[in-house]
Amino acid sequence: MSLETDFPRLQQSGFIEISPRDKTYNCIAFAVGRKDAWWQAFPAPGYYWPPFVPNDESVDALTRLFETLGYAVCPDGKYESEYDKVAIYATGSEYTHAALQVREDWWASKLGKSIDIQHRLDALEGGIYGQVARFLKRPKPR
Amino acid sequence: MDPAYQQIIGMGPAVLPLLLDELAREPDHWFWALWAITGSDPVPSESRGKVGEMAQAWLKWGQEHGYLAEKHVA
Repeated sequence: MSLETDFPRLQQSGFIEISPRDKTYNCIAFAVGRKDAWWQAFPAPGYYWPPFVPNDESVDALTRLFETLGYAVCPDGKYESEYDKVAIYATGSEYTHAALQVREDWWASKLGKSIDIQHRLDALEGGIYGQVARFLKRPKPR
Repeated sequence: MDPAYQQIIGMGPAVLPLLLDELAREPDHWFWALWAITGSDPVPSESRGKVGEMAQAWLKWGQEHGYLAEKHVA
């Protein structure tokens, strides 16, 4: 993975590196608060994918995963202090990535096997992750 | 899928010792290739997604099937 070529808007938009490369967890695990496993809907056996969630790479399957964690689809990524929000990136109908909102205009992402960063939402668009296709939110735990 | 990764899968069982040696050296995401070549799924349910444990399961499989020396298995 090359940040410059895979995410052409990232350098100009600016980002903060939060932790170094790590092959043991990916964006989906990171977005659900786990750093102990690689969560991936994949036809190959061996990876983790929650039971009762369709095991395919569709945006709808990933939406269902977040719904099982209390999220519901919402219209946008506007910051709402009382909600956690996630953004699903996709190319066509297949999900490519999920990012977690951390504060107004800033999101956190684990980039595949690479680093995890904080960034603006559109900084990861226009490259291998495609475009943001869906937002979900849930009330923050009290 | 990365074309280089596809090429590795296309090499078939001959590449298994190399993949398993690489996995022993540094656990990485060779699992798709290993599954595609062998059709096997040695990763127990409790280890799914845990890269180190997935690697160990494949190394044990490699040893049992004669693709890997015993020294690699923890």
